[in-house]
Amino acid sequence: MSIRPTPSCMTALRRAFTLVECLVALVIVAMAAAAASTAIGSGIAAQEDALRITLAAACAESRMTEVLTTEYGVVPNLAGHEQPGALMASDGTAMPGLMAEMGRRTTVEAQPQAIPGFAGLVLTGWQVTVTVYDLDEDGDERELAVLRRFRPETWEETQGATP
Amino acid sequence: MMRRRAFTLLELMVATVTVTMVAGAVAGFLGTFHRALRLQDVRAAAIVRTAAVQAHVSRLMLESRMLLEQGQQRTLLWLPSEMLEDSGSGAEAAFDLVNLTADELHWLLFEQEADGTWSLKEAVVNAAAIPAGQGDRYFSVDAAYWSGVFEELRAAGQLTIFPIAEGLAPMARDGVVAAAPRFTYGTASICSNRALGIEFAFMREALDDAGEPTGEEELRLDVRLDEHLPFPDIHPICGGGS
Repeated sequence: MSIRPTPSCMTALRRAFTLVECLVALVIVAMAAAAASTAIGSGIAAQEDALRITLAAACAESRMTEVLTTEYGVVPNLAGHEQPGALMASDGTAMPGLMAEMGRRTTVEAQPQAIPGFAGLVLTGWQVTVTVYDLDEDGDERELAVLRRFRPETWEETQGATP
Repeated sequence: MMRRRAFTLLELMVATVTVTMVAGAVAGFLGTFHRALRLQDVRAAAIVRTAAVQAHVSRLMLESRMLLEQGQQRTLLWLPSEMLEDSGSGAEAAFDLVNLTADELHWLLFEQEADGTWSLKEAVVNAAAIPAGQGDRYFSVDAAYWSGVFEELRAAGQLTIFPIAEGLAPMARDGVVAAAPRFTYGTASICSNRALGIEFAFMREALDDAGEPTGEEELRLDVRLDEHLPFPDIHPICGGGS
């Protein structure tokens, strides 16, 4: 023996969506799409920042290479500010692509360093700081990378020779 | 009894237009989503590979005393296994031994792959493949000599070559794309050079609807890295002393 649905049951089962149900569904889908778009946009922006920071670190390292391979006495001449668009690699060629959009500041300070555990031992040298930045939409500087190193005066250099 | 009338032509047309518009919007969104994810992949690869190249080359340069070969697509780093003074027998004539089996020579090279992309690789001597008594070479400022050593070892299968970064492209500067990724140097002389520049790029071609490359650049990221020899140990032949 089988049980068949009554006509009144079938009427209840075959009812269409109401306008409110359709609207609620559309709003939910739109919100989900908007959330997905926002998440993707944020991810891309964060990744763009990470890429710029990586390249900024390379720009800072490039300047530090120049400082560390330059004759000790003329290291202070490398202090200065390179505007965005004027960045140069250590061999004097222009930086490419995104790296060319960055600016760079180099400071050089005489800063003798005492060596812990060796009483009276003080190394003469330059404290070098390289800061790389780019400009945001408003034209404000946004610091991307800072590199600090101590460039000691080597024994050979105190004797007037190239190390 | 329930009334079961069919859809009118107008209802069907409105439904068709609505579905088409929704499908178009969804397809557009998915297309943008897919393209954004592909570009994210390229950027992620650029970040990781740039950092990897910089870290790898920095470590090698930290340990190197000199660059013995300064080519555009190949350079040779000399990592000491002992002080220069102990490099030979101590006599002036034997003051320049470079031992192939002591992991002293590390080549960095850019090579083009079959798919047209470039790879940055490192080559080291496979000490086990060097016959006994044939591991000694003598210092030379002649880059052609070291180039010959590389070719000889490679032909004999005595090099181990492994990739540092793959999927690279030549760098562009001021809108001009170079013929190949390349190395640059502070000075042309291996006796006075202390700087190594590395120029390459990450490039992604746009794809057509069938997923085939169109030849147009969709994304380009140019990278220039500079490294230096922090502890150079210049060979006496160069006249600088160690």
